[in-house]
Amino acid sequence: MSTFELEIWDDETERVTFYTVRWQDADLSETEKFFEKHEKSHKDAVQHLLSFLLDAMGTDHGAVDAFFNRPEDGVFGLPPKGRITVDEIKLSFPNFPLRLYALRINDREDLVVLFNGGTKTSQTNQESPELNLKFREAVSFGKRIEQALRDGMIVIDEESRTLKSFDGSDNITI
Amino acid sequence: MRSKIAKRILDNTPDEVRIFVRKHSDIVVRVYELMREKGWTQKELAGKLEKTPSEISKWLNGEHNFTLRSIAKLESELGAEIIYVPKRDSFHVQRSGGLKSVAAKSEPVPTRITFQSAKSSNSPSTSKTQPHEPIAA
Repeated sequence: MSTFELEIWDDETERVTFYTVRWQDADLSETEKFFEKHEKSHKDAVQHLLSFLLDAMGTDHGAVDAFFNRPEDGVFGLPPKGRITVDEIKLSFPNFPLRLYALRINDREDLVVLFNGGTKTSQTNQESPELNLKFREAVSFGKRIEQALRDGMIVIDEESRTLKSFDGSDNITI
Repeated sequence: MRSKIAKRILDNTPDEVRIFVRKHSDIVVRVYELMREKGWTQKELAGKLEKTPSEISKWLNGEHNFTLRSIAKLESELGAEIIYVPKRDSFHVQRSGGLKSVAAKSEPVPTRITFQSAKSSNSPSTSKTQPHEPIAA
């Protein structure tokens, strides 16, 4: 099974530390791939999405429920270790074309892992092949992160609002 | 630290976009908070607004833009302000007293809309609490 790094994508906002995942042999994280892919073709939407993440979520409100769609098949994991859900970042703007997947660690409003996403080409994600593939990937990443949390391979450092490896290191390989 | 790509895109994002996104998000979060405070579901809110649940869902999930009219309806039923527009003393004084040469104080005038209970009245009354003294020019 391929391994991936769980690395900080942005920790400069007041309310949220954003993580992303990067395959060990990849130059770019999944979230960077997403933004790079759509930066030119959906310039306006990308700017809105980034402002939504860093301004509205990271600076103003935190990762509150109102900002996430919860696909039914994105929920897994069991209490008491915490339920993990892969959500869809929800921009409440008409006809917004982009979808980005995310995971809120234990439903917290201050720790979010961003994955990849795509463009919505039909009414449901299931009917958008590219998006459905990215959603499945996000769920797969999410399951492995949930398992690592459950096994104690990753711990939450409350003081620094970060995730740490079991040995206290910031380098997290799963 | 910040992703280089994120930094590059954010640096090139017009202020106008960032202002729009923040204000729109403020409204969505405020509506959710007020619904939670009242213990209302989207379906219940729809009933009170005499809308279908799918229309409310479209407001909150972004398939329809909020309009000033729709925000007014929401404020009326939820019994609280969703957006607040700051006013300057000069504006306030000119309207109420007809004075013309008044220097503006930059703080908002502490006006507050007091709502009756949502059910008993749909007509909010406006009360002004202790307006600032005007500053003579």
